[in-house]
Amino acid sequence: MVKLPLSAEQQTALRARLGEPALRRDGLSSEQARRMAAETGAPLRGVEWFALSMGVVPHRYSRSIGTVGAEGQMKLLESRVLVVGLGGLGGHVAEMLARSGVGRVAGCDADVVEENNLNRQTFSTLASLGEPKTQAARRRLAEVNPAVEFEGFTCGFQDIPEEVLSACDLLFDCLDSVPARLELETRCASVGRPLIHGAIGGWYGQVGVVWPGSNLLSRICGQGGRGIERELGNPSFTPAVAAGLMVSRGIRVLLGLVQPGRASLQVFDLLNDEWETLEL
Amino acid sequence: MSAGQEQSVAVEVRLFATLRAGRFKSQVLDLPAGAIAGDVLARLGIAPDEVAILLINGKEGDASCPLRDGGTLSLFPGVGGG
Repeated sequence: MVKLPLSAEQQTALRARLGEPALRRDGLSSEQARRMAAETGAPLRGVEWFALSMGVVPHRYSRSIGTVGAEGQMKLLESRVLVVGLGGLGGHVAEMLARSGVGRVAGCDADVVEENNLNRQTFSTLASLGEPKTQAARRRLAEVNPAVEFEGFTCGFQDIPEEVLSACDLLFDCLDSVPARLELETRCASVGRPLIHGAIGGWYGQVGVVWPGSNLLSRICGQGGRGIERELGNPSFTPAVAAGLMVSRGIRVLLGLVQPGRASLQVFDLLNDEWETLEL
Repeated sequence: MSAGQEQSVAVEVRLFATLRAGRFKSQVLDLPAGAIAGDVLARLGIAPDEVAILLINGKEGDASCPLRDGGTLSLFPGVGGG
């Protein structure tokens, strides 16, 4: 079954082009995929998906296939996610999702890029200072993987319509305030979507999968508006570590490799090399 | 063994991240029988709102939970940055 929007004509045209034996052997280059999309009018992620369904591996995923499999890669191309917050965590998360070939990535952030972001936020560069983070994200993701359809929301997630949330398979909590995280948890529960939580401060961080109804965040966030990051700030490496742990969990959820409903939180301390799993 | 010792409980207290500063990573504290988690916070000078996750023997608890001899109390600060 073709799960991407491809017309019967596009499928016929792609089948003819992708049926060439050399492609099965050599894989599909980005340039070949781009040309097929232009010639058939199919979306690029549709071309990649169709190629995989015919045993043709796009070069850009050739190092991922051994890990997620061709079927897993197709599932990722079909998936739709929302990254809430495009700062330290959200930038790395969104870029990893794009490199992974998650087909539709939406990003939400009301802020512009500031100079104090440069130490850690992957979308912040001298050229992007003053630019909305959603715009910087759109440019970067298009450079990295044009097959990924990016949708930017330059607003608080509170203003994102419910139908957008419920159309997502999964959301990522990359926010920086406890009240906002708790509100996001409530919204995800109301649309029945899992949420990948990540939070950092200094050398420390935590990640977990928030299943709808688990109220994990309400139970672990304490009462304060913020945490130890108020004093410690956030260095370059902690968001990257947390983001990697978040995306690995997100990919597992998208591929159905995680038992739903089991709540656990991983807490890490990069100063002392300590990793704790809390069963909550 | 004195009566006082019989009435005390030994609890391993484990502190994480910034809660260790000026304190310790892990230490066994002798507390009076009937002590609750909040007594440990008070003894260590940790304000209740500095603790986001409080586990007793690995299970979620709060400052009012009683502590048993040989048990473990783990305290984690709030982490909220993104």
